[in-house]
Amino acid sequence: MSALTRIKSAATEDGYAFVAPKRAEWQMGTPLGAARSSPPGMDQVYRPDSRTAEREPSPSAALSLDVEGVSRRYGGLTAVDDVSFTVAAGEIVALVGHSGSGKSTLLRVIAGLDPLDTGRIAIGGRTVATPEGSVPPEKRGVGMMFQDYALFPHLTVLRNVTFGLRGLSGGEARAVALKALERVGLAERAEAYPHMLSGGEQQRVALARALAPRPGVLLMDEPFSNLDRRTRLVVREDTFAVLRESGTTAILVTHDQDDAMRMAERILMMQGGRVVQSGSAEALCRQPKTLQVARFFAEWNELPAVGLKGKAATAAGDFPAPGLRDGQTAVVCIRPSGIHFVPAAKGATGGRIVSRHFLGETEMLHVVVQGLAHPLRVVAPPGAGPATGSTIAFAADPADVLVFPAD
Amino acid sequence: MSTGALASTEPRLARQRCGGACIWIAGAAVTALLVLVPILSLATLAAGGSGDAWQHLVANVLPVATLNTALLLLGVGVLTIAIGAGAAWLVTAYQFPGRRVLDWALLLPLAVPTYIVAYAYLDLLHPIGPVQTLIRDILGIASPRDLRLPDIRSLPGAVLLLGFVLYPYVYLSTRALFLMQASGMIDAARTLGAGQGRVFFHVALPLARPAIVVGASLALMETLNDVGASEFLGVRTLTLSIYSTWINQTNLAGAAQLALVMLCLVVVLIAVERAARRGQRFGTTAQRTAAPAPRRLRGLAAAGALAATLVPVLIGFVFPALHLVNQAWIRLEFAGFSPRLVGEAWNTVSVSAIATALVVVAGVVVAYAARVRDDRLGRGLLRAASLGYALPGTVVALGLLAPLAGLDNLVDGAMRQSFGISTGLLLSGTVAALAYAYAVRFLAISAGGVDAGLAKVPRRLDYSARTLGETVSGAFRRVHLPLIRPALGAAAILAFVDCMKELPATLLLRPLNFETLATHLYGEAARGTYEDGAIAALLIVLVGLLPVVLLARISRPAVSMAAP
Repeated sequence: MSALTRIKSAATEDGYAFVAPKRAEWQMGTPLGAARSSPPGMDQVYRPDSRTAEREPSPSAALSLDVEGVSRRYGGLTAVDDVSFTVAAGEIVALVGHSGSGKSTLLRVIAGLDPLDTGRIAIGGRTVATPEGSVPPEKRGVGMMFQDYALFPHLTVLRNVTFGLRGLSGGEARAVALKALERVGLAERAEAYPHMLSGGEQQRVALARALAPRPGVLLMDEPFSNLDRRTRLVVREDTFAVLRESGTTAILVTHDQDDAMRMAERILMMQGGRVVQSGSAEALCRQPKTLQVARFFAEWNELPAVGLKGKAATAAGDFPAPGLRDGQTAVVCIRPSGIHFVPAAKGATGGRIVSRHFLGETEMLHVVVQGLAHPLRVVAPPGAGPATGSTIAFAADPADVLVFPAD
Repeated sequence: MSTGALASTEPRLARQRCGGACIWIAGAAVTALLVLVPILSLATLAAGGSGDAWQHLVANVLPVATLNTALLLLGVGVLTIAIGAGAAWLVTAYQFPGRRVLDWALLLPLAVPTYIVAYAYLDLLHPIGPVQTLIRDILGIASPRDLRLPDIRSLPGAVLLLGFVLYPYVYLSTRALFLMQASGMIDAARTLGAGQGRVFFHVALPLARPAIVVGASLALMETLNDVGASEFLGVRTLTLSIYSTWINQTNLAGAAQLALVMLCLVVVLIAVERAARRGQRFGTTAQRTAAPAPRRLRGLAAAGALAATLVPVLIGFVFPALHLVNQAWIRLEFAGFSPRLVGEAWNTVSVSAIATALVVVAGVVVAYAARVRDDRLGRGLLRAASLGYALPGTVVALGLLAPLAGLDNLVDGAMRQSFGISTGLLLSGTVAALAYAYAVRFLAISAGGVDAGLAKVPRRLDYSARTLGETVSGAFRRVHLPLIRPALGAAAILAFVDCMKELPATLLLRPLNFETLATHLYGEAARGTYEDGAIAALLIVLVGLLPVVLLARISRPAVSMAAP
């Protein structure tokens, strides 16, 4: 991981401060994590309210972001529907959801590429968009990265990175850009053209280009989804390290829960243009508020159920469901790792193991249960458990069972 | 967030409501308006005309002119479709000796303007010209009076000549379609047992119908635009009637009324073309497979295919071009390259260059505005600004006469009142008026070219540039402009050549004693004198070869795909 070592060595050099007029400042040389050593609070947030503040260096370029009741409609379709959230300066937030959930549109609205129909957006406490008017994207101080990187094909890597460094002399811009390229480990490809780079390298150039002007907020639209799995893991770690080191406020849009959980401190799940749940990765995985959130973050056995005396009755047993009315249909979700084999006894449900697949660290078993359309999937330690074809009894750990009203 | 901060930022927000896009939209709106000026002024003129002039026109001019125009359009339409679609099918579906060369050579007649082909054939087919002399020699007839051949100076003659130089429009669009998409369905038809005739008439031709209509409507727009050929060949078309109503009778209102009649024809043509293009878009989304493998023809069939594709090239390009070369050579040997011709060539190049610059800049403005505001407004302005391609040059020129004169009078009056200086004619009868007319006529070339070039630039490049701090205009300068440079160059060449060839608008709008190569040729042909005309014609044809080379190059990848 050359990028990481480079970042570390760069971090040990002492602070070389760059003077970028109009843009806020951050020290490129601050050690890893230093930007977050104290919890970011509103008092630390850089507010270019007064005109002089714009020229004063600040300990961090990171700005807070306020999204208040923002909606965006296309014709009859409401792509973003009354969304509100706040991102603290230096925080990394993931916006997740399936395609069409409105997350990319929301990103474009924040960047100023799309107007909004209701609500307000503020960056660093300064209103940048209302339905009455908006600051154009080039004056917002936001950086943006795209799925296909959108590198300018007619410019070299270096000139791609210097593109956003306006107000600097040629030499200064070049120096800043080279530093930025060094941080992502691509200084030696400075004179190459984008088409000569691999996908992972292009992604890193895009990152360097977006970060070089020190945006107050960095917006990333599916930045890893064009990479193959192996490259993706490396690039994701590198990107995370660079973001952490620069202390940039970042919003990552992704449809991949893995990206979201690795990168973000907080995740916002969007569905149908609305934020349906937000919180830590753990909260969204452990206590999803809706079936869609549950499905997005984990694999589940989904069993049709009916409410019966405060319980959800399924073919594989009854599960506590306090809110469920009698006769109301529901879906019971059981985590595959939450099913344990138990000695056959009263109360335990039985089934027959029809197949087992070795998955390396674990084993996936399929258990046919009478009355269920699909076999239950059970994740167990490899080699453990009864043989294929044997009849077994099982029980589910209550912590691994969720009940949702059917939709 | 304090309310104070919100209050202080709000006025600033309101000011930046449309960002940097306003300038582009405003520019596009002005451009579209300038293009629409001739149409609007024509309508005003026609409405203001006296009734009796109109009655005279309706009684004496309109019936003949309309009938002639209708017959000419019909004949040229049938002929261009037969030659264009037939040749396109032969070179894409079959392999025969000479096919590779003919594949691009069939485009050559595009280099010959209608008035030049008429000029050349008048000479070639003259009773004492080379063709008739040859026929008489073969038949052993001594006097021209003893052999009466059908006169080329007739409606059928005009149909024939226009058809043989305008078919490439149909050929180009139809061949592209045959190469791109028809092959899968044609293969399917073959495996279902359809013979060659059935494949062509029941599969290929219906599939190509939208492409054929697009090509034919462009050819018919050129036919409507023509003023030289119909005059030389003695066919009283609407265009010619407009021209003579104004030039010979100085009846502007009458000419405007005739022009409005012609505008109706143009509207029909545009509607047909638009509808066909929609159909074409539908067709291309349907299927896109590998190019068809041409069938090898042998013996008589190969000779027949060769003849069928060679004849249009010979008639539409080789014969007139050879004749011009020959005549030009004789003239050059006799008198050299006259200084007058040098001056005219300079006139042609300079006014064309000015118009090209206008066309390219305006094309960039309307096309980029449509990208920035990719909605009804932006797209509508682009379309309005591109209307000129369908307007015959005579109509544009006539529509510009009155507003330019009005503007001149206005400026003159104002200057006289405030400074006591008379500015006279600033625009009317100047090169500026001519360049304006050219720009109106050919803006569609650059607007379309730039629009197509911009369509290849991903939107995310715009977004990247904007979030990296570039304005709308800055993004154009630093990202789009470098990326669309080839499209811009091609558009400039095409527009320049079209300006150089332009005759009808030039005739009406040129300054006194200002001759271009085209008007020189027209003058000689009209007077029946034969001096430097052949050289001027040859120069125009040579320049006209540029876009043909460009077109042949653009379609080359498809061509090489077709040839295994």
